[in-house]
Amino acid sequence: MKNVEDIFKEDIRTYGRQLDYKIKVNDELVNTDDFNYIKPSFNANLFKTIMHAVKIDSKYKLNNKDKINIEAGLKVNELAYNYINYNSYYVHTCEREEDTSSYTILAYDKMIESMIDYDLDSYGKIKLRDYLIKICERLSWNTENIPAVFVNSEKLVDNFLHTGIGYTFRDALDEIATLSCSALLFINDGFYLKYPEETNQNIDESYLSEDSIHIGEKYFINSLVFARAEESDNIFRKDNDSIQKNGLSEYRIEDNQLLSTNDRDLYIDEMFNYLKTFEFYTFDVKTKGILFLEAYDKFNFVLDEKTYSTILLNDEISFEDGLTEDIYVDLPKETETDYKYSDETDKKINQAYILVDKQNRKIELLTSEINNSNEKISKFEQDINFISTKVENIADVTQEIAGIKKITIPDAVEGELLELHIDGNNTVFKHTYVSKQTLVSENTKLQGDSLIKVYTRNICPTKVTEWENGYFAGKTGEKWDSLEYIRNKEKIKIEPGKKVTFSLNNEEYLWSYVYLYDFANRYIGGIQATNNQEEITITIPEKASYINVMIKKNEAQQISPNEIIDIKPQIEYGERKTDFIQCNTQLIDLGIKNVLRQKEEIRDTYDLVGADAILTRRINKDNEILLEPEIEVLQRPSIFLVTGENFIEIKNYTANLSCKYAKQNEFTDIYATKVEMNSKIEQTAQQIRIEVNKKVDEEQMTSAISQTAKEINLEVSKKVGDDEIISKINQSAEEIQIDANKISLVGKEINLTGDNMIIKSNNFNVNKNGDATVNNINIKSGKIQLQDGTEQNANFEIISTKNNKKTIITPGSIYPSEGIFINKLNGTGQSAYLYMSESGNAGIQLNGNNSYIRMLTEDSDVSGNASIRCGGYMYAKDFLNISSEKIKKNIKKLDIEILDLIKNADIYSYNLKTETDLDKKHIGFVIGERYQTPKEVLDKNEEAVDLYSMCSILWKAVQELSEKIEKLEGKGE
Amino acid sequence: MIINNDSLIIDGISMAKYITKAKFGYHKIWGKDTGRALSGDNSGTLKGIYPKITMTFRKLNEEEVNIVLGIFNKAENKVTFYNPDLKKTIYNMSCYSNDQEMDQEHIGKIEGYSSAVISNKKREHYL
Repeated sequence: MKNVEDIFKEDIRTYGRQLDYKIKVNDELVNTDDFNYIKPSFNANLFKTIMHAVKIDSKYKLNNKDKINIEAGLKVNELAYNYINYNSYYVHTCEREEDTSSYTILAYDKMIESMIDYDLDSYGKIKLRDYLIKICERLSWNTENIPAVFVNSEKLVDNFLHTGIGYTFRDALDEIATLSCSALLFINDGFYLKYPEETNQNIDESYLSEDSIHIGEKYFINSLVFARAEESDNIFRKDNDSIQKNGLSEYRIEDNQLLSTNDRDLYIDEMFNYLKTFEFYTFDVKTKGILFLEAYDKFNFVLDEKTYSTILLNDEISFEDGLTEDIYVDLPKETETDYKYSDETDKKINQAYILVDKQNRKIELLTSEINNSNEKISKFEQDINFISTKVENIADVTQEIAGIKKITIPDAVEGELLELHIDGNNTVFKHTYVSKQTLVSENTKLQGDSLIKVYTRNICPTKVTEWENGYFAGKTGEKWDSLEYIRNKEKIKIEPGKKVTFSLNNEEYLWSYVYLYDFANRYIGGIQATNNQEEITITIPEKASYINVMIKKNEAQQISPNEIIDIKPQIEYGERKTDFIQCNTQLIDLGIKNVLRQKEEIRDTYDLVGADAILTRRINKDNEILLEPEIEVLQRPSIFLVTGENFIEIKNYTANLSCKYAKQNEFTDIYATKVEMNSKIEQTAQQIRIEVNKKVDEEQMTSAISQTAKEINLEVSKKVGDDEIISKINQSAEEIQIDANKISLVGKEINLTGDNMIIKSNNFNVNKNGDATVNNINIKSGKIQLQDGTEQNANFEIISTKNNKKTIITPGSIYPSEGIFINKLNGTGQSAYLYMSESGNAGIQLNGNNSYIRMLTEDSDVSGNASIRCGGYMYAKDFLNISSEKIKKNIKKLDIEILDLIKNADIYSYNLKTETDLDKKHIGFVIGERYQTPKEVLDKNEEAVDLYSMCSILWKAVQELSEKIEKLEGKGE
Repeated sequence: MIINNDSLIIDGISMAKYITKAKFGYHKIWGKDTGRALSGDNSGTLKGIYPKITMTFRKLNEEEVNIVLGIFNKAENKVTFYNPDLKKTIYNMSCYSNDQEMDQEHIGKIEGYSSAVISNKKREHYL
């Protein structure tokens, strides 16, 4: 409230009050006769900045930013006026009014200086008050009137939220005012952070014009809502008692950038605690002038003896032909949040929100669930150029557990313990010292006791067995087989459905019976074992609760009364969980040779981290703290955890210990300490990119598809350390490029349909004619077919580019450039050579002493029709006819007269037609109609002479001649 | 309050020879806000108290009428007179005159015709 004397308050209401004004323009007094009216005003919203304005009609033409100072004086009977000051105003507009030959001037107080682009650097997180001061300093405003403490003044905010979003400093100040539940304004040119100020001023009827008085309803706040978008992502505080009693009256803060972070619940309580005490009556009143009330002054209307407490938010004063002052406060915009979509906190861990940034035209949707080991986030971001969808699952599958002496490790993944830490306490791993009186032999070695025990329970496949002593009860002289084995223990408690196995350790005895009893220990039957059965396994029937056994000896013998026989049946209950059975026990010596010490808060420590085991000594044996810790690297013991629950225990001492291990989770099938998986789709007008990433510890895998109008790219990569494998498929209108270590085409039919297709590689090429160049072809089975073109074109060529030798294989023919060598692979010297000259001569050369040409048939190597034909000469050391009866049939002696046959044959001399007449004459038969050549020596085709037949005929002829000679010799005798 | 006729000079013309008497007083001007407050009491702004001189003319002939009307047919008159309230002569007080209304019957014998000049400045101006 302006500082005025009571006489002022009297005069303002007195008939005949007189007003006077002092006006300075740029600190120079001007003639007030040249001012037609002066209308100061302010219009405030709750918890925002307030800017005072003045509208003036004057004969003066003022320039933009001219400074105007106004004082209004009042008196009635006093000699002098009592003046009140208004803020300095700065001309914003000055417009000529032609009808009155004057200027209408609109001017504002210094708040207008804040209506420039926000340009502060980012300070990171700073206190709200410090942020306000930073802005004031930037605007060269005095900060001495900013309270040391106000609502949320100590809370941290990030001023980066105000950068780059088209904000002015006034926008930023508005948000600070909201967060502090205050008004930021200038009073007498001083910058103030002002809370509603109780003036205790009563405004009664004497101040008010009689024609327009309206007192409205009472405004109060019993719900505070931080909203970021309509009906979504709200957090709130409510006073349910007040709501039930008075109905909902909500104050809703929307789109405050400082509340766009996910820690906004840090601010809400302090604000709500203040706001729920905040109330006022709305009103709309025309007064005859009050002048001394200021913005955010709390005052009372006293009408008809009723008091209405309220606050001044809007004031419009008119100094024109007298004085009027209209003041009013409207009911703030009524809102009602749908609380089912809201929560009391953003829950830093689990949240779902929609951020709508209208200034920057951005939308962000996020759902997340974060716990100690998992962080799941799905996020959608959209701005005017870009849409991004991302789903992320990061699992830190490690867990830290701490305890004293013993820690329980639940849900472990099978593998090495990741970390183990033990704190010194002056007792842990202290050795048991040998007293001076103890005699120790030379062979005695003191073992350092830094043992830890690692073990499990429950899930170990426990076979619960026990040995027991029993006896056979009977009378003297009775035989064993009639006696019952009596257990020293109670009958065995059993569970129906379980299997129980009984084993004997003494071959002299035999199983006889297993007796069954019910829950009341009543006999319900038994199972007889066969003789010589060393083991009985029974499934416990329903209703059975106890069992007992009877054992017989192999050979019946008499016993002494109550004689205890050393017989220990092993009773195996089968697998069952036994809570207090330790299993998989590892006893591990950490190798610590001296006690871990502690002095006050300083401790020696044992730290097993990853592959290292480090002992850090900070205190010496004299209990002095070392200036520099002494580090000792110990051998890293293997501490292996099994799947499920594990225990780590310091065996003989007590100390604080903690560990870190891999915990079972949805990625348990992968032994890893951290698994990150995410997929995202990013879309702009130019490109769509789809990406899936998976990172398991150091192994990172990524697959991505990016698409533009010009091309589609697919990429799959896998990276471990510095080693990376990438396969790519890049497709454009012109080509598809596949880049991968291995390419597999799997299909029933793969068609390469391109015209004049070319295949290029270092070792395999096909040109546009279909000519392939390939280093090697490995055809495992089947055939090579040359089907193209005519017989002449269907050539299969084997070419040596080294010496230009080649062999052409056509259907039915082989055309070597020289000859064809046939060698045994890795053979030594033996070969066959089929050769031919350019003149057409050809030959077959078989190297090696045992070379031969052999034409085989199925049955025999001589019974078929295989033949060798030769147009030249055949040279050989010998020609042998196979003549075994194995290959012959229809055998009978030749009984014709051979000599006549011989005599009737003609022998000729001749040249072959391929020879010249001068060549040496051949001698022999000539087969033809005109020649006398016996058919008996011809082949079946009558084309050749059968030399073996001819020789045999000659043999027969010699026999006949011999016979004749013998006869002749006989006659002669 | 009768003032000395001889002391009254308007626009440099001594009015003594035309007037039979001159009265001095103050004129109050009220703002538009004047009226009753909600409480029923009068309330309003007294915009100012302005010196006012009312003159009564003798019979004037036609030539004198022209002279007198010539004085008042202007937006502003500079009036010098002895202010009996302030007990000092006020020189060239900026005034405006009321509307000049003269009956036809007065022509030639303007007896009873009166006119007033009112200061453009408040009384305080002359303190």
